[in-house]
Amino acid sequence: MSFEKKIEFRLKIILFLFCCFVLLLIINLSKMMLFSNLNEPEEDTLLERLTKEEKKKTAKLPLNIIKPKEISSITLPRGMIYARNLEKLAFSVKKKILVLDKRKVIEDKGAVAILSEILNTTYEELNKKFHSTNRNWIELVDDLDDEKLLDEIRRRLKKYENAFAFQTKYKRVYPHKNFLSHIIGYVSRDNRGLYGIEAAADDVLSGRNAKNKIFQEPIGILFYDKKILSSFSGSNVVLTIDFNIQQIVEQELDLIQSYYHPKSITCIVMRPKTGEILALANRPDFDPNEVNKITDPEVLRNYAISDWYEPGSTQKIVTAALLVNEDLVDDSKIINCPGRYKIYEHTYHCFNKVTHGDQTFAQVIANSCNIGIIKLVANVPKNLIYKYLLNFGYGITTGLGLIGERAGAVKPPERWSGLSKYSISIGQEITVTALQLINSLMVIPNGGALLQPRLIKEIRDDNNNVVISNDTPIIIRQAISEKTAKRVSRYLMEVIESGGTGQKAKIKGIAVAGKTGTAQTIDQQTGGYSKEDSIASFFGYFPEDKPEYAILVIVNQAGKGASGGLTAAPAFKNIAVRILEYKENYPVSDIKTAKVAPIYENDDYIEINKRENALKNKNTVDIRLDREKNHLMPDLTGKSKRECLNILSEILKEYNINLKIEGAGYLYYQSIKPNNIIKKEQTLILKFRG
Amino acid sequence: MIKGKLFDQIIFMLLIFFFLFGVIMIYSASGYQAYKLHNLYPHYYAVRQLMFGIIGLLIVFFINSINLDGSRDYVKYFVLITLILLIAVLIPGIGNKVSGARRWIKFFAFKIQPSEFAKLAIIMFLANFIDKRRNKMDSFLEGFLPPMIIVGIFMVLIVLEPDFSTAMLIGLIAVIVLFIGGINFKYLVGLFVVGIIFGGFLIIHSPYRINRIKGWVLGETDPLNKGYHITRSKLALATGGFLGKGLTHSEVKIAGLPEAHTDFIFAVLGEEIGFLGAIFIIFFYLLLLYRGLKIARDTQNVYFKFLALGISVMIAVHTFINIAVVSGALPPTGVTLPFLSYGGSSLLVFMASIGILMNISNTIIKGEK
Repeated sequence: MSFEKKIEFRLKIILFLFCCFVLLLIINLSKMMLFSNLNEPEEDTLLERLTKEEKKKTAKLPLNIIKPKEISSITLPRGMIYARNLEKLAFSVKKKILVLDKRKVIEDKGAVAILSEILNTTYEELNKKFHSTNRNWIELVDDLDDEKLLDEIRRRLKKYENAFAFQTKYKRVYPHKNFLSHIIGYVSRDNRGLYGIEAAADDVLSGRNAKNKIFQEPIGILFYDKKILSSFSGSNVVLTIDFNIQQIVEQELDLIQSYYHPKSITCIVMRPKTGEILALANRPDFDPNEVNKITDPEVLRNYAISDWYEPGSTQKIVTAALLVNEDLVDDSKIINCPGRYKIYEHTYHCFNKVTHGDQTFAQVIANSCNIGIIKLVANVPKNLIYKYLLNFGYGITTGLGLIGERAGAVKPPERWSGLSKYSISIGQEITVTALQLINSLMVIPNGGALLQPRLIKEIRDDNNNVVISNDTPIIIRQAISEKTAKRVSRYLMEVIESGGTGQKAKIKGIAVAGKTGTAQTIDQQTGGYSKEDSIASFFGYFPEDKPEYAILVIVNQAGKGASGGLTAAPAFKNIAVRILEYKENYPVSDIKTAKVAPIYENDDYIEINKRENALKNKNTVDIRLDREKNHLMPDLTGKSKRECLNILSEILKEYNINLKIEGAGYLYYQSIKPNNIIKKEQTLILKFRG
Repeated sequence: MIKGKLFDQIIFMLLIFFFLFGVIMIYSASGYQAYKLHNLYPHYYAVRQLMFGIIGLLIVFFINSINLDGSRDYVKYFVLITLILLIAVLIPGIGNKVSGARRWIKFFAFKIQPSEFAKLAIIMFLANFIDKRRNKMDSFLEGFLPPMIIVGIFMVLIVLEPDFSTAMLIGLIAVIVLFIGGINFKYLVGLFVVGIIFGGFLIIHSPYRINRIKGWVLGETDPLNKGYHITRSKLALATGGFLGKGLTHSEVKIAGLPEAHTDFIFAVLGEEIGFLGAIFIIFFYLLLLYRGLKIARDTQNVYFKFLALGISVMIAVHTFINIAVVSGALPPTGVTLPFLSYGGSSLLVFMASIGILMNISNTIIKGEK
């Protein structure tokens, strides 16, 4: 064979082999890419059968692995939370963590025993820790700065040295502990915001938005924007909270707590004309550094935004604004208070059953005279009252954005009973949260404008340059005219004067305006309004002519004899005096306005009513009798607590019913179903919710 | 010279396509890792590959324009320089150690990998040798032993780095070229037996190779350890499906497949452009192979013939083995995918090879004229 022919022949052999190989390759590739079932093994070989148990454990693993991981918890610290003058409220510190690959140790009981000894725990506890999670890497020591411990591990567990590793992790630190805890909130172990600002501003603080962009749109890696990448680490959030005022409030609440031992206390300080929240505190509270040690979840509750209550007399500010704005009352009008006043078989009293006699409108407000107000609203159409409630921001959340914020309940006028108009005008049958209330009542110092409350002042990047400034007040709507606001403000000043209910809030040399409130609470035992417990509140602002601070103090169930004037007003005064001492001169800022939403005109609220009615179309209720003249249980669904009690009042006595009430708001559950016969000494459970 | 027939246009087009597509794929596959490892700079690997590619293109034009027949005088120097580099890379201080292996020599900002150049050196040496001894190839002493000694020295030096896969690859390319070159078949059988014994010895003495082969056999049963890369790349291919997830939409490169832009770039490619895209890429490789073999067939110059053959075999072996590894048909070895895998030395060698093919093609065109 010649050289050329030999080459030709051998080349063909190689080509043939190549072709076979390529064919097999493509078959294999198509089998894998087009016909593979990700969950089922492709073939059951002997080896695979032998390791079937192992396979079961890891069967899901590959799919989990391709889920994009977050990088925030691995490399980058979370942004800081500051008070308004850049006092650090929350920051992240790097911690060295000792981790252990449990797979390598778990079989060796001796090693686990030695390890538990080194770590100062018991064998059982460590073993439990190993088995409590599916993860292979266990966090052994949270904050490793003890070299001795490491040395000991190295010495005594030399065999397993490979099983140990270090991890750096960022740990969230709240240097002021309970300070502002309900607003700041807390994070999970892997640094995700779970509560408070940590949760509400989680995207900003963790910078996760930017990261997600890269994961969810991997095309961004090819055509990405460098800015997005550089803003990876979390931005810093500056709150509107004034550190010093918050400090004052926290200390004063501690004093009230130790003095009255109430069920809860809430205090909010806001700045009129801007809507900034300067301080907000609740008792009980918690230490966000040690959230895992909390046993009673109630302490986490941010009463200021999550709990609603009947505002009581502070509501008279809204009623007064309505009367003045609609020109239904003038200063010369004399209103007589006979001490008791009967409407539809229901007798209204003034607080402590005082008889006020003849009063001007200013005195009605100053005395917090229920009957005076009731007489004045007698001719006001209920739709008008409803319209003012909406305009003052009742019934919807303030839009602060914190987790757990709720809106109080306001019924549409169609569902009002004959008494509702009067009850609502003195602060019953409606509910609000503390934040809603202070924000609504700030309409008066704001010259009639309802503002959006604000908690975040600015966002700063990791070099602390301001990225977003949130300085412009947002006017939701002009609820009443400026003239009205000024006139009501004048009445509120008289509340503080001697003789008024709020005289304990008087501060020498400073014009203070305010209003007391004492709302009744439901007694869990009797099911009626409690005789002893009440919610004492005081809303006030100062200086009256150029308001800088508005404060709402709410003391829940401070015991017998507590009232807005006696319990909450002094607390207001203490806080106010200390704020004045801290701010020797008042900054006067130029206010710019952002946007104005239209007033709820008649047509609007009629529309709203229609929508509400479509949702909750309920008939009026009375108790019916069957043929044997047994009383039948009415359907109380959607009724307020007070309505229910009014409807049932006679039945309860006659049948000696054992009544139990749970929750607040409107009825959603009754243990005796509608149209069932009511029997003697039956137990009736009523459950209410918002 | 005839206008429009200045050089082999099909091969040149294929080269440009592979080069640019390679840069895009490397960008896609490495962006995430580059971002993490290189100071938040996701272009890192892609830009480097682009720079090497541009240097490579200059080399292509250079080689295309020289008198290639005259280069056979320099083959021995090229082999000698490569040998020196292969020895130099083993010396600590010169050789750059990365994860236990000394494979790179630092050269300013770049690291060159002598074993990549060794492939081309061996091919040139064999082509020259076969040309000179074309009628004595059947003999043991004159045809079989000399190339085997040279190739053996190369392989031993590369195994010492250690880089077992490249050594085996060079051996495989040499054996195929020598087989076509007319070496006696029974010597090759003998060599195969010796090779198996030698290979077995090496595998037993380096446990990581056992693990790799175990991982390949065990496959998915041990996704965290031994078959790690294979499990991930299989998963990538399987999730890619027929049309793929779209260019740059690979998930495996973000979680699970480290260094996705090197030897396993075909997994990312399969995941992103799917079975259809992968078949197209394979088709382009076959087209390149066809052109290379056609050139080898058409040229009358035996040196050129075996140069073209060797280069075609090198590209084919690289491509087939790489795809076989990524799709789990062979145990994992560090074989790059020509033009698409990240790596400057590898890209330069393949581009220079294309330059040689183009040059030979030119001589055929000129000859026709």
